[in-house]
Amino acid sequence: MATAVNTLRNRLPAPLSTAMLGLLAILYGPLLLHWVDGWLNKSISIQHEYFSHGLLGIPFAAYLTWTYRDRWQHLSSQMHPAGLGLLALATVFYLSGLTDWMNISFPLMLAGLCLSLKGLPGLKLLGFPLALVVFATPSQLPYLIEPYILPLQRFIANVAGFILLQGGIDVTVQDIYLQVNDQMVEVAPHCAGLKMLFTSLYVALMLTYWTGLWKSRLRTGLFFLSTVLLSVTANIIRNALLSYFHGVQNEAAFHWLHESWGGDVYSAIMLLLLIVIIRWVQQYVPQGINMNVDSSSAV
Amino acid sequence: MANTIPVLKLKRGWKIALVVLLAILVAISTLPSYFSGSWPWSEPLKAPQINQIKNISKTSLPLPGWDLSVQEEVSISGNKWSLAEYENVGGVLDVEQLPSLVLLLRPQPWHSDQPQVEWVDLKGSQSWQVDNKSNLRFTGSGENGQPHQVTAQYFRAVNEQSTFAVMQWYAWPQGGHPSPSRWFWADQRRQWLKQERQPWIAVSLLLPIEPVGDIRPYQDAASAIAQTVQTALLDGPFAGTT
Repeated sequence: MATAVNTLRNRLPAPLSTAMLGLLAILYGPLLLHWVDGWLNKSISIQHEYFSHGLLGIPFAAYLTWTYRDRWQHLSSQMHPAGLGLLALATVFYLSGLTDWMNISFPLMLAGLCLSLKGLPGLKLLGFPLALVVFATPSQLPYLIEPYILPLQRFIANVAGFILLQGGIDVTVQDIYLQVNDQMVEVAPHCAGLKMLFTSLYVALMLTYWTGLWKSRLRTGLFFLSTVLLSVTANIIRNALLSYFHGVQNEAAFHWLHESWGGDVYSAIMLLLLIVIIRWVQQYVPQGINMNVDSSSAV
Repeated sequence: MANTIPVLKLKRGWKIALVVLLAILVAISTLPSYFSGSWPWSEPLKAPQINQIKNISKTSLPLPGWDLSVQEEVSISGNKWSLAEYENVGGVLDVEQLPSLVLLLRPQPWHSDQPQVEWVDLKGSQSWQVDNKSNLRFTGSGENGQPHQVTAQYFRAVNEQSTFAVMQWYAWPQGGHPSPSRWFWADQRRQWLKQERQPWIAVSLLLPIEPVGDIRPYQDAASAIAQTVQTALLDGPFAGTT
Protein backbone atom coordinates (compact mmCIF):
# COMPACT_ATOMS: atom_id res chain seq x y z
CA MET A 1 0.00 0.00 0.00
CA ALA A 2 2.77 2.36 1.04
CA THR A 3 4.76 1.61 -2.11
CA ALA A 4 1.72 2.24 -4.30
CA VAL A 5 1.27 5.65 -2.73
CA ASN A 6 4.96 6.39 -3.20
CA THR A 7 4.87 5.46 -6.88
CA LEU A 8 1.86 7.65 -7.38
CA ARG A 9 3.59 10.50 -5.60
CA ASN A 10 6.66 10.08 -7.82
CA ARG A 11 4.58 10.44 -10.94
CA LEU A 12 3.06 13.72 -9.93
CA PRO A 13 5.23 16.77 -10.48
CA ALA A 14 6.74 17.66 -7.12
CA PRO A 15 5.15 20.91 -5.95
CA LEU A 16 8.43 22.13 -4.46
CA SER A 17 10.37 21.55 -7.68
CA THR A 18 7.67 23.34 -9.63
CA ALA A 19 7.77 26.26 -7.19
CA MET A 20 11.55 26.43 -7.50
CA LEU A 21 11.46 26.47 -11.29
CA GLY A 22 8.71 29.07 -11.22
CA LEU A 23 10.66 31.34 -8.89
CA LEU A 24 13.79 30.95 -11.04
CA ALA A 25 11.74 31.97 -14.07
CA ILE A 26 10.45 35.06 -12.24
CA LEU A 27 13.97 35.96 -11.08
CA TYR A 28 15.88 35.42 -14.29
CA GLY A 29 13.22 35.51 -17.01
CA PRO A 30 13.43 39.28 -17.53
CA LEU A 31 17.24 39.11 -17.49
CA LEU A 32 17.26 36.39 -20.14
CA LEU A 33 14.79 38.37 -22.24
CA HIS A 34 17.16 41.31 -21.94
CA TRP A 35 20.02 39.10 -23.21
CA VAL A 36 17.97 37.86 -26.16
CA ASP A 37 16.86 41.39 -27.02
CA GLY A 38 20.50 42.55 -26.95
CA TRP A 39 21.64 39.67 -29.17
CA LEU A 40 18.88 40.03 -31.73
CA ASN A 41 18.92 43.82 -31.95
CA LYS A 42 22.65 44.29 -31.24
CA SER A 43 21.50 46.98 -28.84
CA ILE A 44 23.65 46.56 -25.75
CA SER A 45 27.40 46.52 -26.18
CA ILE A 46 30.09 44.80 -28.18
CA GLN A 47 31.06 42.83 -25.07
CA HIS A 48 27.49 41.53 -24.79
CA GLU A 49 27.39 40.60 -28.47
CA TYR A 50 30.34 38.27 -28.03
CA PHE A 51 27.95 35.85 -26.33
CA SER A 52 25.18 35.82 -28.93
CA HIS A 53 25.81 32.09 -29.45
CA GLY A 54 23.67 31.77 -26.31
CA LEU A 55 20.67 32.04 -28.64
CA LEU A 56 21.55 28.48 -29.70
CA GLY A 57 23.26 27.25 -26.57
CA ILE A 58 20.82 28.15 -23.81
CA PRO A 59 17.79 26.44 -25.43
CA PHE A 60 20.03 23.45 -26.14
CA ALA A 61 21.11 23.39 -22.49
CA ALA A 62 17.46 23.53 -21.40
CA TYR A 63 16.60 20.67 -23.73
CA LEU A 64 19.48 18.53 -22.45
CA THR A 65 18.47 19.19 -18.85
CA TRP A 66 14.94 18.09 -19.69
CA THR A 67 16.24 14.80 -21.14
CA TYR A 68 18.20 14.23 -17.92
CA ARG A 69 15.17 14.64 -15.63
CA ASP A 70 14.77 10.92 -14.86
CA ARG A 71 18.43 10.47 -14.01
CA TRP A 72 18.23 13.63 -11.87
CA GLN A 73 15.33 12.24 -9.88
CA HIS A 74 17.15 8.98 -9.30
CA LEU A 75 20.10 10.75 -7.68
CA SER A 76 19.92 10.70 -3.90
CA SER A 77 19.26 14.04 -2.25
CA GLN A 78 22.38 15.45 -0.65
CA MET A 79 23.87 18.83 -0.02
CA HIS A 80 27.40 19.91 -0.82
CA PRO A 81 28.52 22.89 1.31
CA ALA A 82 29.99 24.65 -1.76
CA GLY A 83 26.41 24.91 -2.99
CA LEU A 84 25.57 27.25 -0.13
CA GLY A 85 28.57 29.44 -0.98
CA LEU A 86 27.47 29.67 -4.61
CA LEU A 87 23.88 30.46 -3.62
CA ALA A 88 25.08 33.22 -1.29
CA LEU A 89 27.32 34.67 -4.01
CA ALA A 90 24.52 34.47 -6.58
CA THR A 91 22.18 36.28 -4.18
CA VAL A 92 24.69 39.07 -3.47
CA PHE A 93 25.36 39.54 -7.20
CA TYR A 94 21.64 39.55 -7.95
CA LEU A 95 20.95 42.13 -5.26
CA SER A 96 23.82 44.35 -6.45
CA GLY A 97 21.58 45.64 -9.22
CA LEU A 98 24.66 45.85 -11.48
CA THR A 99 23.80 44.17 -14.77
CA ASP A 100 27.26 42.64 -15.32
CA TRP A 101 27.07 40.91 -11.95
CA MET A 102 23.39 39.96 -12.22
CA ASN A 103 24.35 38.13 -15.42
CA ILE A 104 26.99 36.15 -13.56
CA SER A 105 24.50 35.42 -10.79
CA PHE A 106 22.47 33.25 -13.19
CA PRO A 107 24.95 30.38 -13.77
CA LEU A 108 26.07 30.66 -10.12
CA MET A 109 22.50 30.21 -8.92
CA LEU A 110 21.96 27.19 -11.19
CA ALA A 111 25.20 25.52 -10.12
CA GLY A 112 24.47 26.37 -6.48
CA LEU A 113 21.05 24.73 -6.70
CA CYS A 114 22.52 21.59 -8.31
CA LEU A 115 25.05 21.26 -5.48
CA SER A 116 22.50 22.03 -2.77
CA LEU A 117 19.92 19.52 -4.02
CA LYS A 118 21.96 16.59 -5.33
CA GLY A 119 25.54 17.31 -4.29
CA LEU A 120 28.50 16.70 -6.59
CA PRO A 121 26.74 13.93 -8.58
CA GLY A 122 24.05 16.48 -9.45
CA LEU A 123 26.60 19.01 -10.64
CA LYS A 124 28.33 16.29 -12.65
CA LEU A 125 25.10 15.16 -14.28
CA LEU A 126 24.20 18.68 -15.41
CA GLY A 127 27.83 19.72 -15.99
CA PHE A 128 27.58 20.05 -19.74
CA PRO A 129 24.36 22.10 -19.90
CA LEU A 130 25.77 24.27 -17.11
CA ALA A 131 28.96 24.79 -19.12
CA LEU A 132 26.82 25.88 -22.07
CA VAL A 133 25.12 28.45 -19.83
CA VAL A 134 28.42 29.66 -18.33
CA PHE A 135 29.99 30.25 -21.75
CA ALA A 136 26.87 32.07 -22.95
CA THR A 137 26.63 34.39 -19.95
CA PRO A 138 27.48 37.93 -21.08
CA SER A 139 30.43 39.27 -19.12
CA GLN A 140 33.21 41.81 -19.54
CA LEU A 141 35.73 39.04 -20.17
CA PRO A 142 36.20 39.95 -23.87
CA TYR A 143 37.06 43.49 -22.78
CA LEU A 144 39.79 42.16 -20.53
CA ILE A 145 41.08 39.75 -23.20
CA GLU A 146 41.14 42.22 -26.10
CA PRO A 147 44.48 43.91 -25.24
CA TYR A 148 46.20 40.52 -25.41
CA ILE A 149 45.18 39.65 -28.94
CA LEU A 150 47.15 42.46 -30.59
CA PRO A 151 49.61 39.91 -32.10
CA LEU A 152 46.65 38.12 -33.74
CA GLN A 153 45.40 41.45 -35.13
CA ARG A 154 48.88 42.18 -36.54
CA PHE A 155 49.10 38.71 -38.07
CA ILE A 156 45.69 39.03 -39.74
CA ALA A 157 46.51 42.52 -41.06
CA ASN A 158 49.77 41.24 -42.53
CA VAL A 159 48.33 38.16 -44.21
CA ALA A 160 45.31 40.08 -45.54
CA GLY A 161 47.75 42.67 -46.91
CA PHE A 162 49.80 39.93 -48.55
CA ILE A 163 46.70 38.45 -50.22
CA LEU A 164 45.62 41.84 -51.55
CA LEU A 165 49.14 42.43 -52.95
CA GLN A 166 48.91 39.12 -54.83
CA GLY A 167 45.65 40.40 -56.33
CA GLY A 168 47.54 43.38 -57.72
CA ILE A 169 46.11 45.85 -55.23
CA ASP A 170 48.45 48.46 -53.84
CA VAL A 171 48.26 48.03 -50.10
CA THR A 172 50.43 49.16 -47.19
CA VAL A 173 50.31 47.33 -43.89
CA GLN A 174 51.32 49.18 -40.76
CA ASP A 175 50.85 47.44 -37.45
CA ILE A 176 47.12 46.64 -37.40
CA TYR A 177 46.21 49.04 -40.20
CA LEU A 178 45.63 48.20 -43.84
CA GLN A 179 45.91 51.11 -46.22
CA VAL A 180 44.37 50.82 -49.70
CA ASN A 181 44.23 53.95 -51.89
CA ASP A 182 44.84 56.20 -48.83
CA GLN A 183 41.89 54.62 -47.01
CA MET A 184 42.80 53.16 -43.63
CA VAL A 185 41.14 50.07 -42.24
CA GLU A 186 41.91 49.06 -38.69
CA VAL A 187 41.82 45.40 -37.75
CA ALA A 188 40.07 46.02 -34.41
CA PRO A 189 39.84 43.22 -31.81
CA HIS A 190 36.29 42.25 -32.66
CA CYS A 191 37.14 42.53 -36.37
CA ALA A 192 40.10 40.24 -35.77
CA GLY A 193 37.49 37.58 -35.27
CA LEU A 194 37.58 37.16 -31.52
CA LYS A 195 33.81 37.02 -31.58
CA MET A 196 33.74 34.57 -34.48
CA LEU A 197 36.35 32.47 -32.68
CA PHE A 198 34.22 32.40 -29.53
CA THR A 199 31.10 31.45 -31.48
CA SER A 200 32.91 28.75 -33.49
CA LEU A 201 34.40 27.19 -30.36
CA TYR A 202 31.01 27.25 -28.67
CA VAL A 203 29.26 25.61 -31.62
CA ALA A 204 32.14 23.12 -31.85
CA LEU A 205 31.55 22.28 -28.19
CA MET A 206 27.87 21.63 -28.88
CA LEU A 207 28.70 19.52 -31.94
CA THR A 208 31.27 17.36 -30.12
CA TYR A 209 28.64 16.61 -27.52
CA TRP A 210 25.83 16.03 -29.98
CA THR A 211 27.83 13.63 -32.17
CA GLY A 212 29.57 11.87 -29.27
CA LEU A 213 32.93 12.99 -30.68
CA TRP A 214 34.12 13.89 -27.16
CA LYS A 215 34.64 10.21 -26.40
CA SER A 216 37.79 10.32 -28.53
CA ARG A 217 40.41 12.76 -27.34
CA LEU A 218 42.28 12.65 -30.66
CA ARG A 219 39.18 13.52 -32.69
CA THR A 220 38.10 16.24 -30.30
CA GLY A 221 41.56 17.80 -30.27
CA LEU A 222 41.80 17.77 -34.07
CA PHE A 223 38.30 19.15 -34.42
CA PHE A 224 38.96 22.08 -32.08
CA LEU A 225 42.28 22.78 -33.79
CA SER A 226 40.54 22.84 -37.20
CA THR A 227 37.88 25.12 -35.75
CA VAL A 228 40.48 27.66 -34.62
CA LEU A 229 42.34 27.48 -37.94
CA LEU A 230 39.13 27.83 -39.94
CA SER A 231 38.05 30.82 -37.88
CA VAL A 232 41.38 32.62 -38.31
CA THR A 233 41.52 31.87 -42.05
CA ALA A 234 37.99 33.06 -42.61
CA ASN A 235 38.82 36.27 -40.81
CA ILE A 236 41.84 36.93 -42.96
CA ILE A 237 39.64 36.63 -46.03
CA ARG A 238 36.99 38.84 -44.47
CA ASN A 239 39.48 41.56 -43.53
CA ALA A 240 41.07 41.44 -46.97
CA LEU A 241 37.64 41.94 -48.54
CA LEU A 242 36.80 44.75 -46.11
CA SER A 243 40.04 46.61 -46.86
CA TYR A 244 39.46 46.16 -50.57
CA PHE A 245 35.88 47.48 -50.40
CA HIS A 246 37.00 50.40 -48.26
CA GLY A 247 39.95 51.13 -50.55
CA VAL A 248 37.91 51.24 -53.74
CA GLN A 249 35.32 53.35 -51.88
CA ASN A 250 32.60 50.75 -52.24
CA GLU A 251 30.91 51.85 -49.02
CA ALA A 252 27.76 49.82 -49.65
CA ALA A 253 29.68 46.54 -49.89
CA PHE A 254 31.81 47.50 -46.88
CA HIS A 255 28.76 48.11 -44.71
CA TRP A 256 27.04 45.01 -45.98
CA LEU A 257 29.92 42.79 -44.88
CA HIS A 258 30.89 44.79 -41.81
CA GLU A 259 27.66 45.30 -39.93
CA SER A 260 24.70 44.38 -42.12
CA TRP A 261 23.42 40.90 -42.93
CA GLY A 262 26.54 40.13 -44.97
CA GLY A 263 28.24 39.46 -41.68
CA ASP A 264 25.50 37.04 -40.71
CA VAL A 265 25.80 35.18 -44.02
CA TYR A 266 29.54 34.96 -43.42
CA SER A 267 28.95 33.56 -39.92
CA ALA A 268 26.39 31.06 -41.19
CA ILE A 269 28.80 29.75 -43.85
CA MET A 270 31.51 29.42 -41.19
CA LEU A 271 29.26 27.41 -38.91
CA LEU A 272 28.07 25.15 -41.72
CA LEU A 273 31.71 24.44 -42.54
CA LEU A 274 32.12 23.23 -38.95
CA ILE A 275 29.56 20.50 -39.67
CA VAL A 276 31.48 19.52 -42.79
CA ILE A 277 34.70 19.32 -40.78
CA ILE A 278 33.18 17.22 -38.01
CA ARG A 279 31.91 14.78 -40.66
CA TRP A 280 35.44 14.51 -42.09
CA VAL A 281 36.90 13.98 -38.66
CA GLN A 282 34.38 11.22 -37.95
CA GLN A 283 35.10 9.57 -41.29
CA TYR A 284 38.87 9.80 -41.62
CA VAL A 285 40.32 10.18 -38.13
CA PRO A 286 40.67 7.04 -35.99
CA GLN A 287 39.33 6.99 -32.43
CA GLY A 288 42.87 6.91 -31.12
CA ILE A 289 46.37 6.06 -32.19
CA ASN A 290 47.20 2.47 -31.34
CA MET A 291 50.90 1.82 -31.26
CA ASN A 292 50.89 -1.92 -31.95
CA VAL A 293 54.48 -2.90 -32.22
CA ASP A 294 54.72 -6.26 -33.88
CA SER A 295 57.40 -8.11 -31.96
CA SER A 296 57.99 -10.72 -34.65
CA SER A 297 58.97 -8.12 -37.24
CA ALA A 298 62.06 -7.30 -35.25
CA VAL A 299 63.66 -10.58 -36.29
CA MET B 1 10.67 2.88 9.11
CA ALA B 2 10.75 5.12 12.13
CA ASN B 3 14.27 6.12 11.09
CA THR B 4 13.57 7.05 7.50
CA ILE B 5 10.77 9.49 8.14
CA PRO B 6 12.78 12.18 10.01
CA VAL B 7 15.50 12.04 7.31
CA LEU B 8 12.88 12.50 4.62
CA LYS B 9 11.43 15.42 6.53
CA LEU B 10 14.83 17.01 6.91
CA LYS B 11 15.43 16.80 3.19
CA ARG B 12 12.03 18.19 2.48
CA GLY B 13 12.72 20.95 5.00
CA TRP B 14 15.93 21.82 3.20
CA LYS B 15 14.17 22.05 -0.13
CA ILE B 16 11.51 24.25 1.47
CA ALA B 17 14.29 26.49 2.81
CA LEU B 18 15.68 26.90 -0.71
CA VAL B 19 12.25 27.77 -2.08
CA VAL B 20 11.80 30.31 0.72
CA LEU B 21 15.21 31.84 -0.06
CA LEU B 22 14.26 32.25 -3.72
CA ALA B 23 10.86 33.64 -2.74
CA ILE B 24 12.48 36.26 -0.48
CA LEU B 25 14.84 37.23 -3.29
CA VAL B 26 11.86 37.61 -5.64
CA ALA B 27 9.93 39.65 -3.09
CA ILE B 28 12.66 42.14 -2.24
CA SER B 29 14.40 42.45 -5.58
CA THR B 30 12.34 41.31 -8.54
CA LEU B 31 8.73 42.13 -7.71
CA PRO B 32 9.35 45.88 -7.28
CA SER B 33 10.88 45.87 -10.77
CA TYR B 34 7.88 44.02 -12.20
CA PHE B 35 5.57 46.65 -10.73
CA SER B 36 7.62 49.71 -11.62
CA GLY B 37 8.74 48.30 -14.97
CA SER B 38 12.24 49.68 -14.44
CA TRP B 39 15.05 47.11 -14.51
CA PRO B 40 18.71 47.70 -13.70
CA TRP B 41 19.54 47.38 -17.41
CA SER B 42 16.86 49.81 -18.58
CA GLU B 43 18.80 52.59 -16.88
CA PRO B 44 22.54 51.94 -17.21
CA LEU B 45 24.80 53.60 -14.64
CA LYS B 46 26.07 57.07 -15.42
CA ALA B 47 29.50 58.63 -15.19
CA PRO B 48 29.47 61.76 -12.99
CA GLN B 49 30.16 65.21 -14.53
CA ILE B 50 30.15 63.75 -18.05
CA ASN B 51 29.46 67.10 -19.73
CA GLN B 52 32.25 68.82 -17.84
CA ILE B 53 34.60 65.99 -18.89
CA LYS B 54 33.45 65.98 -22.52
CA ASN B 55 33.97 69.74 -22.74
CA ILE B 56 37.69 69.41 -22.17
CA SER B 57 38.42 70.11 -25.83
CA LYS B 58 36.66 73.47 -25.53
CA THR B 59 37.82 74.63 -22.13
CA SER B 60 41.60 74.79 -21.87
CA LEU B 61 43.50 73.03 -19.14
CA PRO B 62 45.73 75.46 -17.20
CA LEU B 63 49.17 74.04 -16.36
CA PRO B 64 51.22 76.08 -13.84
CA GLY B 65 54.53 77.13 -15.41
CA TRP B 66 53.20 76.64 -18.95
CA ASP B 67 51.38 78.94 -21.39
CA LEU B 68 48.79 77.52 -23.74
CA SER B 69 49.65 78.55 -27.31
CA VAL B 70 47.41 76.43 -29.56
CA GLN B 71 44.38 74.28 -28.88
CA GLU B 72 42.25 72.43 -31.39
CA GLU B 73 40.08 69.36 -31.76
CA VAL B 74 41.63 66.68 -33.96
CA SER B 75 40.30 63.39 -35.24
CA ILE B 76 42.42 60.30 -34.63
CA SER B 77 41.05 57.04 -36.09
CA GLY B 78 37.61 58.59 -36.06
CA ASN B 79 37.79 59.65 -32.40
CA LYS B 80 37.90 63.23 -31.17
CA TRP B 81 41.01 64.26 -29.25
CA SER B 82 41.91 67.65 -27.85
CA LEU B 83 45.35 68.73 -29.00
CA ALA B 84 47.03 71.54 -27.03
CA GLU B 85 50.51 73.04 -27.27
CA TYR B 86 52.10 74.75 -24.29
CA GLU B 87 55.17 77.00 -24.06
CA ASN B 88 57.46 76.76 -21.08
CA VAL B 89 57.43 80.10 -19.19
CA GLY B 90 60.19 78.95 -16.90
CA GLY B 91 58.23 78.57 -13.71
CA VAL B 92 59.15 75.03 -12.86
CA LEU B 93 61.34 73.47 -15.50
CA ASP B 94 64.37 74.57 -17.48
CA VAL B 95 63.27 76.41 -20.64
CA GLU B 96 66.48 75.48 -22.45
CA GLN B 97 65.87 71.79 -21.93
CA LEU B 98 62.13 71.76 -22.63
CA PRO B 99 60.82 74.81 -24.49
CA SER B 100 57.41 73.32 -25.29
CA LEU B 101 55.11 70.33 -24.90
CA VAL B 102 52.10 68.81 -26.59
CA LEU B 103 49.16 67.49 -24.61
CA LEU B 104 46.67 65.12 -26.27
CA LEU B 105 43.53 64.33 -24.29
CA ARG B 106 40.65 62.08 -25.16
CA PRO B 107 37.74 62.34 -22.75
CA GLN B 108 35.27 59.48 -22.67
CA PRO B 109 32.60 60.20 -25.32
CA TRP B 110 29.60 59.07 -23.24
CA HIS B 111 28.63 57.29 -20.03
CA SER B 112 29.19 53.69 -21.04
CA ASP B 113 32.25 54.13 -23.27
CA GLN B 114 35.28 52.29 -21.94
CA PRO B 115 38.98 52.81 -22.70
CA GLN B 116 39.89 50.70 -25.71
CA VAL B 117 42.82 50.96 -28.09
CA GLU B 118 43.62 54.68 -27.71
CA TRP B 119 47.38 54.07 -27.60
CA VAL B 120 47.41 51.89 -30.71
CA ASP B 121 45.24 54.44 -32.55
CA LEU B 122 47.57 57.28 -31.65
CA LYS B 123 50.69 55.32 -32.55
CA GLY B 124 49.15 54.31 -35.89
CA SER B 125 47.96 57.79 -36.80
CA GLN B 126 51.38 59.34 -36.06
CA SER B 127 53.38 56.50 -37.69
CA TRP B 128 55.49 56.29 -34.56
CA GLN B 129 58.37 53.90 -34.08
CA VAL B 130 58.22 53.13 -30.38
CA ASP B 131 61.09 51.95 -28.19
CA ASN B 132 62.61 52.21 -24.68
CA LYS B 133 59.25 51.48 -23.11
CA SER B 134 59.00 51.53 -19.33
CA ASN B 135 56.51 52.37 -16.59
CA LEU B 136 56.90 55.46 -14.41
CA ARG B 137 55.07 56.11 -11.19
CA PHE B 138 54.10 59.46 -9.75
CA THR B 139 51.79 60.78 -7.07
CA GLY B 140 48.73 62.81 -7.94
CA SER B 141 46.65 64.88 -5.58
CA GLY B 142 43.17 66.20 -6.09
CA GLU B 143 40.94 68.95 -4.82
CA ASN B 144 40.61 67.39 -1.39
CA GLY B 145 44.37 66.92 -1.25
CA GLN B 146 44.25 63.14 -0.99
CA PRO B 147 47.38 61.75 -2.69
CA HIS B 148 47.10 58.75 -5.00
CA GLN B 149 49.44 56.65 -7.12
CA VAL B 150 49.42 56.97 -10.89
CA THR B 151 51.34 54.75 -13.29
CA ALA B 152 52.16 55.92 -16.81
CA GLN B 153 53.97 54.30 -19.69
CA TYR B 154 57.04 56.20 -20.80
CA PHE B 155 58.64 55.64 -24.19
CA ARG B 156 60.38 57.22 -27.15
CA ALA B 157 58.30 57.86 -30.25
CA VAL B 158 60.09 58.61 -33.50
CA ASN B 159 58.62 59.46 -36.88
CA GLU B 160 59.96 61.26 -39.93
CA GLN B 161 59.25 64.73 -38.54
CA SER B 162 59.94 64.53 -34.83
CA THR B 163 61.08 62.65 -31.77
CA PHE B 164 59.09 62.69 -28.53
CA ALA B 165 59.46 61.43 -25.01
CA VAL B 166 55.88 60.25 -24.38
CA MET B 167 53.94 59.71 -21.15
CA GLN B 168 50.59 57.94 -21.45
CA TRP B 169 47.94 56.95 -18.96
CA TYR B 170 44.21 56.70 -18.50
CA ALA B 171 43.39 59.24 -15.82
CA TRP B 172 40.46 58.84 -13.45
CA PRO B 173 39.66 60.51 -10.13
CA GLN B 174 41.97 59.00 -7.52
CA GLY B 175 44.09 57.05 -9.98
CA GLY B 176 45.55 56.38 -13.39
CA HIS B 177 47.19 53.58 -15.37
CA PRO B 178 47.99 52.92 -19.04
CA SER B 179 46.23 49.55 -18.99
CA PRO B 180 42.43 49.48 -19.63
CA SER B 181 42.12 46.54 -17.22
CA ARG B 182 43.27 48.72 -14.29
CA TRP B 183 40.59 51.24 -15.18
CA PHE B 184 38.14 48.34 -15.42
CA TRP B 185 38.66 47.27 -11.81
CA ALA B 186 38.57 50.88 -10.59
CA ASP B 187 35.28 51.15 -12.49
CA GLN B 188 33.91 48.00 -10.86
CA ARG B 189 34.83 49.33 -7.43
CA ARG B 190 33.00 52.58 -8.12
CA GLN B 191 29.96 50.72 -9.46
CA TRP B 192 29.67 48.69 -6.25
CA LEU B 193 30.39 51.56 -3.88
CA LYS B 194 28.72 54.53 -5.56
CA GLN B 195 26.39 53.06 -8.17
CA GLU B 196 28.08 55.11 -10.89
CA ARG B 197 30.69 54.61 -13.60
CA GLN B 198 34.34 55.57 -13.26
CA PRO B 199 34.95 58.54 -15.59
CA TRP B 200 38.18 58.55 -17.58
CA ILE B 201 40.36 60.67 -19.84
CA ALA B 202 43.12 59.24 -22.03
CA VAL B 203 46.21 61.40 -21.54
CA SER B 204 49.16 61.51 -23.91
CA LEU B 205 51.92 63.91 -22.97
CA LEU B 206 54.48 64.57 -25.73
CA LEU B 207 57.82 66.18 -24.93
CA PRO B 208 59.71 67.17 -28.10
CA ILE B 209 63.38 66.19 -27.78
CA GLU B 210 66.37 66.23 -30.13
CA PRO B 211 66.03 63.92 -33.18
CA VAL B 212 66.36 60.26 -32.14
CA GLY B 213 67.65 61.46 -28.76
CA ASP B 214 67.92 59.68 -25.45
CA ILE B 215 64.75 59.93 -23.33
CA ARG B 216 66.33 59.01 -19.99
CA PRO B 217 67.42 62.55 -19.09
CA TYR B 218 63.80 63.69 -19.48
CA GLN B 219 62.36 61.10 -17.11
CA ASP B 220 62.11 63.37 -14.04
CA ALA B 221 60.72 66.27 -16.05
CA ALA B 222 58.15 63.96 -17.65
CA SER B 223 57.01 62.70 -14.23
CA ALA B 224 56.80 66.24 -12.88
CA ILE B 225 54.68 67.49 -15.81
CA ALA B 226 52.51 64.36 -15.67
CA GLN B 227 51.85 65.12 -12.03
CA THR B 228 50.87 68.69 -12.94
CA VAL B 229 48.52 67.38 -15.63
CA GLN B 230 46.89 64.84 -13.30
CA THR B 231 46.31 67.55 -10.68
CA ALA B 232 44.91 69.93 -13.31
CA LEU B 233 42.51 67.20 -14.48
CA LEU B 234 41.29 66.59 -10.93
CA ASP B 235 40.75 70.30 -10.33
CA GLY B 236 39.17 70.82 -13.76
CA PRO B 237 37.14 68.18 -15.64
CA PHE B 238 37.09 65.73 -12.73
CA ALA B 239 36.08 68.37 -10.14
CA GLY B 240 33.21 67.12 -8.03
CA THR B 241 33.62 63.45 -8.97
CA THR B 242 35.46 62.17 -5.92
